[in-house]
Amino acid sequence: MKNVIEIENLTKYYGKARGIVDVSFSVAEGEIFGFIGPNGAGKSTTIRILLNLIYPTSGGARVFGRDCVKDGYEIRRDVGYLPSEVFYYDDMKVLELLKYSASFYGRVDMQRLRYLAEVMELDLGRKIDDLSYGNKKKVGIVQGLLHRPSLIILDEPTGGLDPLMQQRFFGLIREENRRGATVLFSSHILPEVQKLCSRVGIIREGKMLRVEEIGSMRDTAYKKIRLEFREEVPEAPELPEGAGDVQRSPRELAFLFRGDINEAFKSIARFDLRNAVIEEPDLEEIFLHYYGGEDGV
Amino acid sequence: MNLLKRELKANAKSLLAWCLAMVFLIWAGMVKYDAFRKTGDEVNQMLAQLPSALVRILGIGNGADLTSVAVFYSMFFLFFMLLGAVHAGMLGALILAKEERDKTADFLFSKPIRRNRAVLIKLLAAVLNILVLDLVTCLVSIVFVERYNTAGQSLAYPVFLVVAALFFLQLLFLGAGFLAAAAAKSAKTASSAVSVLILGTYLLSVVIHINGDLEYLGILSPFRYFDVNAVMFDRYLSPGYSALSLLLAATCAAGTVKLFGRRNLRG
Repeated sequence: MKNVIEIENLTKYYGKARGIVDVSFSVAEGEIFGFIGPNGAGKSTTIRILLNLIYPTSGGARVFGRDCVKDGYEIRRDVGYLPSEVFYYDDMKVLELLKYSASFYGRVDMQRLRYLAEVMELDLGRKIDDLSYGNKKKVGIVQGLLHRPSLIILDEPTGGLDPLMQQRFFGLIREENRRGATVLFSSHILPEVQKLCSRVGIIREGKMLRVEEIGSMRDTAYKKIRLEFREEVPEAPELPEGAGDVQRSPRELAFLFRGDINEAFKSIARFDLRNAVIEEPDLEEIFLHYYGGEDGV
Repeated sequence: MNLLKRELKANAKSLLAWCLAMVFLIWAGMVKYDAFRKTGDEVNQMLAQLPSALVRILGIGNGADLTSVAVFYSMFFLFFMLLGAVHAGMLGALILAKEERDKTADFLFSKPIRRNRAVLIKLLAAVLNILVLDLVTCLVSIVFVERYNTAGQSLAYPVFLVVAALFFLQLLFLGAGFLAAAAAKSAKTASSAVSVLILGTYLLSVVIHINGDLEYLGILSPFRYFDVNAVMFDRYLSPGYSALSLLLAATCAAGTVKLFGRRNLRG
């Protein structure tokens, strides 16, 4: 299969500040590739190099087989991009902005514009300035997909979207993907990447940790479990297999858990609890305790 | 064309404000002239008592007759230059730097548009803005000057030449603004640099007026390029300095294209 994105030893320093160091990976045609890492890991830096918004310090990247520094114009003709922070010309109305955006690619497909706006429940008549963060994201989604690009680059696209809108948005992405579009999906939220992507690249502190099939990532669905006891529990309780990063005080117990959730509940059931919280750990926690030793990071 | 339209629209309000300011300046000045004219010789006696350097700064010769509309209008050139320099310099700096300041750079430059093309379109939009301002200045000036013109000959042509000089200077400051935007880290730094340039070159021109020995430094201050008396009374617009203004503006534009093309845009 052809690679749509090929990144080789890409390095970017902002003066002395680290952007990314020696990043390499590729994204195959027709794939939904998750690009995951905590905030500040270098996801946006990588993406902005692909779009030639910034220049690499060393290394290189090819998109559609073209050099992203020399052929930026040709590449961008067929790319749809949703920046992580959406800012638009405040004085414009939504429809005006979308038409302006489309005008760079040629003719405006009004039918498609209305379809996308309808799916995302976007009011075309409102002024950009009056939009909430979530609504601005919707504008970004529509303008990124409007011209039917063959590569869609999404940088933290779901921020500000409620769960229903997130679902609809994922639906649109899957639709475009079935049509043949390749997707690079950057995020710091593991579950949302797991929902959508076939492969993920994990980046941390500017360095690529690894690229994994999503299948193997699913086994690593960690939960963060926090318990509050009614009575003080003097000795360390026995924990189920798969528990790690245990933090304990007489009245509290917190750990990361990976494995059969039933086993976890069985071992928790022995305690007299005041409260229990089970949540998705954030990426930084997962990295710290499960990838922490790798690559000297 | 979409970007050009966008820029013209985005700058329309500010252009209107600048045009109104210019019209007000000319109107207010001419009302003053009307009063001067009626007072007659006393005005000239007052002028004679002013320090000669100050008179020169105002752009009029010693012993000039302020009750003549042509002489009086010559004084406007200084204010035109100052207003025009600020207008063009800020316009140039901001039309380019605002995309990063307002964080719309990611939107615009992730579209299929080449950076040098974007710079040239913005330059064109800015030049059109300046043309409109200068056209308004020229027409309003001619209307007012001709109203008070008692000499038989029309002053329209010399007034046109004065505004043409203004146009050349504005192109120069526009170029400087663009270059500042391409070189500076932020819009703020760019507009500060332009302010310093305008203020610095203006003060230099004042110093030269006071101290005639420094005449050779005149080439460093655009405010010294055009002698309004020569323009107004001899109908002489220095081709050398006109060419120099254009050359400097073009050099700035070329530098902008080069620098901006290599720029790491802030997201």
